[in-house]
Amino acid sequence: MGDLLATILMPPGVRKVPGPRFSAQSRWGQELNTRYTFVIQLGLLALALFAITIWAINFPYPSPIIKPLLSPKLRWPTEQVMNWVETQNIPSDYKRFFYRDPERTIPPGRSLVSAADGLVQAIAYRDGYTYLVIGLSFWDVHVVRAPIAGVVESIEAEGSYFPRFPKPEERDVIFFIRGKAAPVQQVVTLKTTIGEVKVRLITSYWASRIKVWAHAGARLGKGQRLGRMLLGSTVVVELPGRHALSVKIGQHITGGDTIIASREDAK
Amino acid sequence: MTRWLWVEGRFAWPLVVTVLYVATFVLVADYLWRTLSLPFETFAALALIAFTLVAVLIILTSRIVLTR
Repeated sequence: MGDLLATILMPPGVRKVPGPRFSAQSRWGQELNTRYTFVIQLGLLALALFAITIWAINFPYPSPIIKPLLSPKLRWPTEQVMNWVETQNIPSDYKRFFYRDPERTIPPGRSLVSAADGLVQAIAYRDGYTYLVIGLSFWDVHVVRAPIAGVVESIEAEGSYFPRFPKPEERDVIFFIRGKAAPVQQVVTLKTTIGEVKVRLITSYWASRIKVWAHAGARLGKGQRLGRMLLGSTVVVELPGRHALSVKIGQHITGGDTIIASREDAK
Repeated sequence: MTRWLWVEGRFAWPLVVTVLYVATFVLVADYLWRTLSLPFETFAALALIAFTLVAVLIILTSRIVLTR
């Protein structure tokens, strides 16, 4: 058994047991034993050690070598993004990904489209308004769009704190709180054919900045960009009256693309 | 022992191949661990089997190629 193993594993040129001859005598062996062999070997070893070192330094997060092969969610795990936000040290590749602003094909016809990309967290009817709560993750496009064509009536700041890890029972009510007790937000009110539609851009601890590009008096088309948020938060669409929304809780929707409701009087 | 590391002014090929193989295997296993949702025990067992099988294949292939 020892002889067999030695026959298989023995390096070229040092064979001491019977078996097929290789290395220096074979054509392949001669080519491998050129004077450049050492340099090639050194390069290969350096490459392997570099790959292992990079992997070990980045562990438990993915190595930059395999990052391009992973989906965004696996490429930048939640904990890593949270660490970056805490330390305010966000790498450029993630920034480039985060600030992407793809074009969207706005569906024609009388319908309302989603104001943002994200998961539908809640659908509710309260005080004469239908609410659609969209939760944006670190990997969603953070550009906010007008759900329906209209004129920007007002842009108001509201709220006084940044929710960090809201408890499940808080999560159900946090987006309906108004005034100073509400989380920090910008409320864009649109005057539309179905009445006053409000888009609330709500921040969190992770997303402490909101940029509203639209200004009061501006006429926005359906699906047109109205602002952006930074690093994961919530967008609430408030529609006057009761609407049967065509999206479900837990569904991932796309801003300016997913139809959230259809109405005869919506343009 | 040193002949497994150093032969006639160069590294021994088994050493170079082993280091390259281990590095590649670590990266591939890491990628698969992140993309497949398998329990750790199952993944570790499958990885061990794959590591052994590929190692045997490399050894056999190298013997066929080098003895031509």
